[in-house]
Amino acid sequence: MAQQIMIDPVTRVEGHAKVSIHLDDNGVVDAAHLHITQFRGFEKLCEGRPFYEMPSLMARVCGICPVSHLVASAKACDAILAVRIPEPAAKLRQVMNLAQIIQSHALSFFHLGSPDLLLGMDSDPAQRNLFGVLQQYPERARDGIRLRQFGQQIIELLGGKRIHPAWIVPGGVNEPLSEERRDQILAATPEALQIVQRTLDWFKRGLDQFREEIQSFANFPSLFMGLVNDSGGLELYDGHIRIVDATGHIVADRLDPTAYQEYIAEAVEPWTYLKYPYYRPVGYPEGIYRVGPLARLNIADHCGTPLADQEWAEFRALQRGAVLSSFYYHYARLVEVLYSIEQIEYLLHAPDILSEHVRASAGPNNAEGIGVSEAPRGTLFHHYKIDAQGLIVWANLIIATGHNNIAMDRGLLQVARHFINGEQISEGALNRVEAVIRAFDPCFSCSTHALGQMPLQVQLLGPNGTLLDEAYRGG
Amino acid sequence: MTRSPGVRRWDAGRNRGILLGTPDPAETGTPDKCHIRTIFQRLSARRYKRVVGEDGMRSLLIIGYGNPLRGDDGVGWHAAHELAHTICEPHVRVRACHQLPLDLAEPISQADAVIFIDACQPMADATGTIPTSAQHLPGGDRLFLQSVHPDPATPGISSHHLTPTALLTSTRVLYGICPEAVQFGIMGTTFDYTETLSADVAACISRLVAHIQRILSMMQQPGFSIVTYNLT
Repeated sequence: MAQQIMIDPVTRVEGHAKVSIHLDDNGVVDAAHLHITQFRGFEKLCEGRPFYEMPSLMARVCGICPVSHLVASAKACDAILAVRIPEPAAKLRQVMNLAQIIQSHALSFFHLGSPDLLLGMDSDPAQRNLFGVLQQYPERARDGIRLRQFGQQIIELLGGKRIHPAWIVPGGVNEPLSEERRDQILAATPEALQIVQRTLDWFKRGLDQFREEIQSFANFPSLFMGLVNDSGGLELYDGHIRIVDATGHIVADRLDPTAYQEYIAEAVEPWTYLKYPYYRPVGYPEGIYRVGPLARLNIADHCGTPLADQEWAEFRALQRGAVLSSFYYHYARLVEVLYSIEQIEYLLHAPDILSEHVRASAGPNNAEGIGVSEAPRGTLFHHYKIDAQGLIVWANLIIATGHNNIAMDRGLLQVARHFINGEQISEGALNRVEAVIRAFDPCFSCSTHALGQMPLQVQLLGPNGTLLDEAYRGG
Repeated sequence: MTRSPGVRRWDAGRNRGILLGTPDPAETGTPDKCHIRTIFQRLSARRYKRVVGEDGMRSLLIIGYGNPLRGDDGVGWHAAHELAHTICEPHVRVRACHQLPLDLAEPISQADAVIFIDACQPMADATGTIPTSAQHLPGGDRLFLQSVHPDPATPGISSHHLTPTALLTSTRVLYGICPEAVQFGIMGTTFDYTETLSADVAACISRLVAHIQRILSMMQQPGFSIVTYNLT
């Protein structure tokens, strides 16, 4: 008799989810699904609001990556204004976006991922948490705190506060950077660089311990999507869309990000509020693609900064073609942190970075605007339409985590087939089911706009829906 | 230097994206200068080295936390802002936050004493008993004071927020040092969606500020311990 396993809630992720694993009549894993069971509906609640409120309103989508939403939303509003923002403002927005990526990646790697990486996938779950890391590896924990602080302090220096700063506005930013603050940021970069470099060294040395996870954590062919700049380099703020396949071959390049509806469509499934975006020319679900750090390093021809380029070359040498295992998201995150620190230094040395001209003013000149940027977890789309009074009449958001939804589902299936045998779930198997999701660093409350807390639940169900085993973890 | 309570030095004209009256995090003194100074100190601080109090003055970190959108839950946050605008002394830092993240472990490790301010009930021990260290003002006042100590047995740690006990425990584990600490608790009455404090709870803030100013005046006395401070 077929059965089902439920894991509810998934732990050490941003937001709330549960996992169901379906067994066939022979007790073999037949299917696995990630369920996002709550809904927030930011697209609806913003209707009727003035468009210039959108950056501040949309930043509330997330407490981890509010800057990413600020950036994409402000870019959509720039399009409504039909302005080209001053170049210093674009650079300052990039600095804040990079700082956001640093602090978010540090949170994911050190706070959420490191218990698995440092203490082991099969370690005692009572110890396999952040406090266990603090006790056994305080140096790593301190590095994580310092690196996250570095990103947050840049956000605070630029925007006045660490979470939900309102400094990025339609038309640019609302205050120029002072020399004193620039120098404060620059003075802190050497320590941040040292931290990420020694973390990379340690992570790479330990990869051999995770051969089985590398082999089975969402390790399959797929497309990869993200922004690249004009030279094909890593791009986190602007640029054009590139899509590559598993062999590293460019499937589509120089796609206009604002024409996203031509090449991205979204499917809906009954078991989750998180939609399933797919590459429209291939269809659903074959049009599976991944976004975020792994995808960005796979699609780019280079990073564009000296140290990150060295690491990127080493990373890409892991595999011929694209690097396919989602376990390497952790690795890619560290390379992106390195790039972000270097790029911040580069931007802050630009001759015009202290310019007073940081905002373009205009009224609404377009009835529609689309803003696209790279958030820590992948490509972020904000699309608004306004009426004659400048009030929002329609909005669509495609959040980074959503792009990875098909891949997360398939990753769950791969891990479940590899680690689950029979009707009982071992603790190690349960943790790996969660860990493959953690590798993507999903932000469920962001991408589904879920409300409230959702712990992780895993259910093992038989073919007729019989509940065979169930495991819960608190939120 | 102590300024008069209620004097606001936030300069709305600079408009750094901070809504007037809702800066976050609050820092002591004139917001711009002190804000920049304290961020700079954090950025340039060498690990484990106290960045304030090096002149021999004992340093104090005040952390007021809570959600200002949920009525009385935000009293700690409001109190921190009141203190940030009232106190500008180089050996005192004030932080206002919505919750206690692990990132606070480092500034805590650099302080000689810590005061937490939160909307809460007195903390019970494992048996459910309220320790006698929880001091209430007479007459049913909603303000109380309780000492807080590290306790590895109940870390209560998460990636999002911690309890004061968990934060102190983490500080000791991470930095090998933990200052003495107390918590001013204010028992709230309404936690609805409002930015307004109830009258009883709002009235506690001025008394709280007065107590902290008194603590500040006693901090530099030889032998003074914040955990022995008496509300009455």
